[in-house]
Amino acid sequence: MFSSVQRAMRPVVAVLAMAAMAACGDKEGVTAPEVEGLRIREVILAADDGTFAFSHRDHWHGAPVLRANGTRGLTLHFTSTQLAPDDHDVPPVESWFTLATAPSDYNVRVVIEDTTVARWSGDRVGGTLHGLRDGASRVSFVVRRGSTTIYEAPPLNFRVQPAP
Amino acid sequence: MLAQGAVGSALLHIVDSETRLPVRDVIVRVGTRVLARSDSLGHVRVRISEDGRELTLQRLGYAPWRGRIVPTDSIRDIRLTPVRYELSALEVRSRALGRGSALQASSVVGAEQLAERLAPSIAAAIVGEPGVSARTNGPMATQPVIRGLTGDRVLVLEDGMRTGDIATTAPDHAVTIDPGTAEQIEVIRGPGGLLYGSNTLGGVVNVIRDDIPRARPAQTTLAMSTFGESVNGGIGVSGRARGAVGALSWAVDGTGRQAGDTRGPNAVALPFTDLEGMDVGAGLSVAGSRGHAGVSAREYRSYYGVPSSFGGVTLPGAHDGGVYVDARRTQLRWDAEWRTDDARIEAISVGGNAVRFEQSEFEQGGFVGTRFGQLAASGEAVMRLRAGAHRGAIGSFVQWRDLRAEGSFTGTRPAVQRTVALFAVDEYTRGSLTLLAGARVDRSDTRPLDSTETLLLRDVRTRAFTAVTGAFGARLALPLGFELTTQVARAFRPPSIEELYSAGPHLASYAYEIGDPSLSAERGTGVDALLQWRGVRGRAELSAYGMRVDDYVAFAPQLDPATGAPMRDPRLRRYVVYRPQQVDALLWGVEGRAVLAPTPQWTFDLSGALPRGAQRGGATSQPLPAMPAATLRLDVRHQRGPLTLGVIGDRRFAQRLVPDAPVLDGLTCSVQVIDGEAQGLPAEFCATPGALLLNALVAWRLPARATRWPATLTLTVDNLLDTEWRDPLWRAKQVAPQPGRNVRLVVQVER
Amino acid sequence: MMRRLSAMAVCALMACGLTACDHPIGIVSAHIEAADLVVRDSAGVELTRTSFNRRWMVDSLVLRDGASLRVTITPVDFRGTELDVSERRDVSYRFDAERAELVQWEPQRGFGWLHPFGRGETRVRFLIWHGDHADFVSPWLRVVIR
Repeated sequence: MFSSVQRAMRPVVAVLAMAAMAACGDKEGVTAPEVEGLRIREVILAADDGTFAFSHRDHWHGAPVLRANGTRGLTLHFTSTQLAPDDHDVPPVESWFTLATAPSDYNVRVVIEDTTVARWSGDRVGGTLHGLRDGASRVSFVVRRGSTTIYEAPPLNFRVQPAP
Repeated sequence: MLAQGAVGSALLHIVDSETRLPVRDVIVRVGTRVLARSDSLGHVRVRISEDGRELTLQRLGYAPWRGRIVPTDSIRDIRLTPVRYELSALEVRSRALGRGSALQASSVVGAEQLAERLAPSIAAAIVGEPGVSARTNGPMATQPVIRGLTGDRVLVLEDGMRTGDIATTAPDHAVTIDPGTAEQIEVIRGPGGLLYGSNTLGGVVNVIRDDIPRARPAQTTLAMSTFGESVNGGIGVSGRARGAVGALSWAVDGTGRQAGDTRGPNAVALPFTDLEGMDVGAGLSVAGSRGHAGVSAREYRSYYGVPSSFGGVTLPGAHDGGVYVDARRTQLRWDAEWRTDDARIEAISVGGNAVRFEQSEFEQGGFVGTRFGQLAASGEAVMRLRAGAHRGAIGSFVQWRDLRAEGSFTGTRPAVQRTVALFAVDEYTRGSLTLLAGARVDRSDTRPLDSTETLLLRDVRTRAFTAVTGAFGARLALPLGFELTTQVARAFRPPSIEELYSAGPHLASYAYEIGDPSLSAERGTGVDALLQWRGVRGRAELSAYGMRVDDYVAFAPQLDPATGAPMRDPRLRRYVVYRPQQVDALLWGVEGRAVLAPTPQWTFDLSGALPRGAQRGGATSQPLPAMPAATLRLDVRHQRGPLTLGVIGDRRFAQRLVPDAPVLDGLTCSVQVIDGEAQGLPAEFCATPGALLLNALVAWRLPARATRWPATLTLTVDNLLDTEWRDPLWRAKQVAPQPGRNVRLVVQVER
Repeated sequence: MMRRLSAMAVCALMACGLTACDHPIGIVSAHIEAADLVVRDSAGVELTRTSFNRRWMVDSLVLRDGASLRVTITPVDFRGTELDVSERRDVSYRFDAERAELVQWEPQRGFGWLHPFGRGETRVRFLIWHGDHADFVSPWLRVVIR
């Protein structure tokens, strides 16, 4: 009885062992969501004068400064690279991209907290920050696909200095 | 006349005792081994030895028939009585003693009752058995309570093996067993340390699946159930199949269910109580007259909400905005038994399992607030012995588990726990007297993987616990079907990882818990007295118990020595800091049940329990927190042909025995709503009003000519009057009531 | 007997294989058990520190408008021993401000910048961020920008 059973059990044992290995291997079984389309992890603001500020998880490195009645032109670059929490370097340039060639349903919403201090004009590729009066405020950048938010940067502080 | 050892046969003719019509698909068994099945004329031929065999005849919708059949040339007529309740003996299993009556109070919830309820959790499936209640935190996160003890003090097993999940670590964690396809659930009340080891102070719940066939099925069998219920729009299906291919026996089973939010009385929804889950398993074995050997694999997944608010009011201590738990358990199990010819060694039995468990808890916004992960394995080896009137066993048990947690909403420290045990038990029967004695030695050590000290958590180190437990009992068969059983048993529980090493929030207990690495093990000594009666038309039991637990661990709120106010957590200054303290506890009570079927048409099932518990710390004594209230339940059923009507009255008495409340910022049991959040004393310090619930049931056994396979429809209405009632064991009872009226339809099919 | 034992051994090995596979949590990342926080300037001078994490010993920081302040933040345990978290890649310092438009926190490796954005007064607090949660939250600290 056992010799024939032993032969019959071998493939069964193999199947069960594979099932066990599959169960071990599936670490993502309970947590990982799927994201469709562009993967955006950080935003880099490149100013006309070559300076830039970039987001890093919950904070920013760098901040735009402009004067009242002045302007600051900014290009919106994005990256799918997310650096470690203790790595505060700018993401590699080769990973940057803009939404210029993205599908038409991608858009960027720019919101300034105190609209008496500054205003924004532009599109999903970039725009201009117009200083209105001496003061400080924060600006947020939200990338959406249609009406679905796919990325939201932490709020960025900026300063509008008095007109010269 | 047959020669000694020869085999003969008998032809049985099985009919319905009322209609005299033949009954098809009746399963004929010897023990757990299926011999044959009756045909459409009710005929079945069985091969048996010269001196006959004890046979069991079973079929859905009929009371089991048991009797001795000897070989004969004439047709033996057997009449099956159609009833809804089994009047069978209570047989529980253990690897050490095999199948038999436990020498302590116990209950068995059979497959038919389980299929009738199709509850989403083990606790809900067995609640209502004497001495058993449930600690609820939503339909899935429900844990069994036996004689007032729950969590780490009630051991939940699956086919005798530990589940490897983390159900006992928090009130919002689920037992990862779906009872939908269980063969039966055995509940042993009182200390079960001898046969089952540690963590059995309250008792043992053993879910029997038999997914590793212990006997080769003679035929392929299939049973399926599907259900829908109104209280949460729930639907589900479960199925179980067994068969054999050549020498290989196989078994598969599975349950799937989903439900929306549960509605309370007046159809007010309790948010974050929706759920979905599945539990599938498959097993293979080789089984013969000398034993069996096999393996099984099982996968359990569930995704369920933990209620956080009701009527716009956040429940005390709930996760803001609700939480969803995503749990997954993968198990491999093996089991083998070899029955020997040896005069002294009856059998050698080994078994074990390996479990991978992970759980993520998603907070509002979808981020993972807490993750748990555990690898666990256990194994047991037993040698059953016999010598004259003695029957016993010696055995060993090993267990290993590695528990880790991460995230902001947990203070559980990672740790590895190992346990080794040796035990011996002897049962001696002489005439009407049976004596049982046994001893067990357990050694358990817990090693923390994070030994960082804090101001309140010091000396974080490995702890080892050694305990000797055991039991001594006697059962005396008395005239007129009475039986008196008494037992003295000792059990122990090592402190849990959370009790030793916690250093963080425990939102399910709405507390910030700091462990104490110097805790001692809990040791309980219990005395049980059980009077049972079994007759042709009924059975009854009455039990009284008492148990003393030394070094009972209870978390108590801490006061700031500088200000005298409750100490708040050092991170957010929001949660009260709790630390474990050890007191002496005393539990006692009575339980009873009587099932009477004075006529084949009527069945009366009366059960009740009165549990009590007190803790003594120093010179003071006060009630143990979260003790269940007294209950009384009457289930009346009337059978008219294929139709069964039932009415169940469930009286839950008020629970007024609660411990003195600590001084907590002037909070009282009257809940105040501040900024949408309920503010009040913890529920364990507040009394609970009683309630009388009414349930109704209609079951229809479909005629054989209408369906190809035997089928039964059961329509149940729980809480018929939509009564608003509070569960004394629920921490949110002051804010939210229990579910309202529920109409449930279950369709069972068996082949 | 040997066949039975070998079958049992296969089963046991399978189980061992299961338990030998990766733990769902993997590496244990211990929480930072900080009892207090110390804030120093770029010269190493202590600006303020918490006391039993209930209050700051010096209850305010003064910044000059247009001049960022470089600070180091160091956790200490309940014994007063400073904790070195520099090697912990999963640990960083985060920042809350009641008037977030006035002051921004820019962490760097081993130190950070407090950037003032205009004159005024606000309250801030520091968090020791561990992965996806805070292991420590300081009391509110008054910040004055002149």
